[in-house]
Amino acid sequence: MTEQPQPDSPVIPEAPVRRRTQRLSAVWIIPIVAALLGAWLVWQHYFLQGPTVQITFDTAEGIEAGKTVIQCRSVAVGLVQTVRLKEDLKGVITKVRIDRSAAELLHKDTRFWVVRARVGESGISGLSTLVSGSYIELDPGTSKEQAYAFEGLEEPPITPQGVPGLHVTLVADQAGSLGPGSSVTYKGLKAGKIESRTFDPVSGQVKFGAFIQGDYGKLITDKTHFWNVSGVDLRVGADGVRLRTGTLDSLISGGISFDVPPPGVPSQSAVDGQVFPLYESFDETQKVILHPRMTFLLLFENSVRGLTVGAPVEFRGIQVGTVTGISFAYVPDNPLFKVPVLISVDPAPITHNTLDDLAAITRNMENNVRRGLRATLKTGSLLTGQLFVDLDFLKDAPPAQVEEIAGYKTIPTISSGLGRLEDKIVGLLDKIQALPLDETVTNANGALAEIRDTAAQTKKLLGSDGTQALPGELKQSLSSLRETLSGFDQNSAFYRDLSQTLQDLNEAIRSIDSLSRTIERKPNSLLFGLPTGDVQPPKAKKP
Amino acid sequence: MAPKATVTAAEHGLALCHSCGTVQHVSQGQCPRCHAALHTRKPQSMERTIALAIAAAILYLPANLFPIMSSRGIGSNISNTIVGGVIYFWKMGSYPVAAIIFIASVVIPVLKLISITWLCIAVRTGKNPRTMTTLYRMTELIGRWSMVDVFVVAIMVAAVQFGSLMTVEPGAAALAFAGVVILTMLSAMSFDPRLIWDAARKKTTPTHKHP
Repeated sequence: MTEQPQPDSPVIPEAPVRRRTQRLSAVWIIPIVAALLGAWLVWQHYFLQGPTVQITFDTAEGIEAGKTVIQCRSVAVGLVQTVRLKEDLKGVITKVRIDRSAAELLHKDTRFWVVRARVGESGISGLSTLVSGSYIELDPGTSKEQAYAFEGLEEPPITPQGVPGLHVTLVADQAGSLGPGSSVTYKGLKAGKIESRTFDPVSGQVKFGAFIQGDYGKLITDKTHFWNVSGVDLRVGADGVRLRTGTLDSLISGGISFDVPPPGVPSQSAVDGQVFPLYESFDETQKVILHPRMTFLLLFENSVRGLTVGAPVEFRGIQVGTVTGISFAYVPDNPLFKVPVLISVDPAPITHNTLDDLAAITRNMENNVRRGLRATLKTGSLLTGQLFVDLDFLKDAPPAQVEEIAGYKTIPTISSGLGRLEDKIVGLLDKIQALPLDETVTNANGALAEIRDTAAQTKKLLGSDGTQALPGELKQSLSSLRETLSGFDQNSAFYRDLSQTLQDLNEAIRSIDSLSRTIERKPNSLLFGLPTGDVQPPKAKKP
Repeated sequence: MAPKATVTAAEHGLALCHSCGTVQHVSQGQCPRCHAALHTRKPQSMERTIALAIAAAILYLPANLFPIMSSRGIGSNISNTIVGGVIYFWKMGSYPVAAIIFIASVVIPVLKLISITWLCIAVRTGKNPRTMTTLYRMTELIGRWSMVDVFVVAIMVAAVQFGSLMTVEPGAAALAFAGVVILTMLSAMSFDPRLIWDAARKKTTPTHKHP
């Protein structure tokens, strides 16, 4: 260290080469890139994440916040964020974060349900969730409207939305073995499924929601019949034993079949949600099946002997209902002891539409009663004396209307034709009976005695000598009369005189006739006489 | 304590070759033995250190906000952030594991960023050069241990791939965290501890210019 240049100088000599300019170093790119990367991550996380939706369920069974995923066709599209109880403790509210890419699936009619392992009528489903845990399935709707709050379904729907097909409602009295998942077949081919089964407490019937898939839906018209093919149909008849079963599937879980009206029958394609009756069997489709919806009370003055529960109620020969009860118990306050008869009426066979609106049926009936609809008892069979209730319009019916008696709507009644005849005969007989026959007979007897007396006296009179002499005197009188008449013979003088007199009289009449004609022609001849020559009355001189 | 006034190589125009270690006159520009460029101090040391530290600090946010690892298995789909993992292990009762993760993933990166900042300030102020040098040594030493977390994720992802039974996937934070660790290491490497002594020297001796 011989050379010691300014040891106290802190200035460090710069390297002469590779000397960089004082420009901003390229190393600053790194924090800028880091900042951009960080900003991008944050932006992606907070601004590119999808919407939060709220789904309510009855129970949170199988749903865990932060774990349960939302799937659509087995693709995860979201995650449950929070699960909490509703304020009224009657359910749970789950907040779900839906991926941004799946946000467009959130339509107003999008459906959510929890997929868990289920063993039910429609089979076993969701077995995979036993291992993987439950998840919430999303079934995208078709509505154009977006929504962010949903009611979760408790049961998975049978048919996903957007599947082409037709939804129909089938109405039956008995549910039988039919239920969600039961198949609908056409000619033995599977054409759809029953989706729901509900009991309608108003009409007391079971309603099935059925889905007819794809092109089978186009076969359904308003003339289509649906019938139950559940179980085994065994019949022993004159033509032997007949066994009819559906598919194995329908044997176990029940099934429905339908037909297509023969070609040429005018029919309209069914619309979504159309209501059809569900027949018990194929044979039943050939009969008229009534679905009585409205009960009416009839009060009959006559005896209802021969009328039984189940007897038909007909309108001009077409059955529209049945008698459902005959009892005095229906009307407690009944001083005239009219017989109360309950009937159930289905206006469908007449109006050709299934009116679900009971108020409309009642209104309809009220109008008809005002126009003269009356109920009558008629004899269905002269042999057995079976009666049925006939509804018909009576032309000269006394005005009446639907009244409410003991809580029932009543249709006014009139006596039947036979009944009326009976009434008249009875009335006539009563009148006859009321006649004072005994007195009349006594009087008649008296009269007869008098007649007898008169006859005896007459006989006595005839037997008297004077009477006996009468014929001789009569004979004498007649002969003298003949003599008198012979005086007027043509050859007698009297006749000749009379003839002469008549001729004179004739001439006189003729001259009077000519006189009257002359006077008519020339009235002045009365004064001046008939003109003889050319004598003219002088003309009046002019003044 | 003020450093003793010593003679530095730089004052004599000498520089240590970074690659082969020979002492040469810096005016030569490049090492006559290995032809590496000769610098008296690490070039743009402060600038690089600060830039890399800032980048690390920025990446530290997503590293902690995003899940570092998500495990998808039977009936579960868990994704945890670093702090979430620490809490998870702590609740499970695995206090040592929780402590290791906490120290390696949270404490060390934060301490590193703080110490780098402190060193940068020290270069300006020139105070406590010896303490600062010790701090620098420790920073360089412990820095690599932060990679434990990244290694754990990498090993888990590679090892736990059992199809639908259990699958571990790295989260967005894993990449960010690896970036934090690498950037802090690079930042510490870019720092030239001689600058501390230069500053301390500059402080003790009044400024006067080289002629």
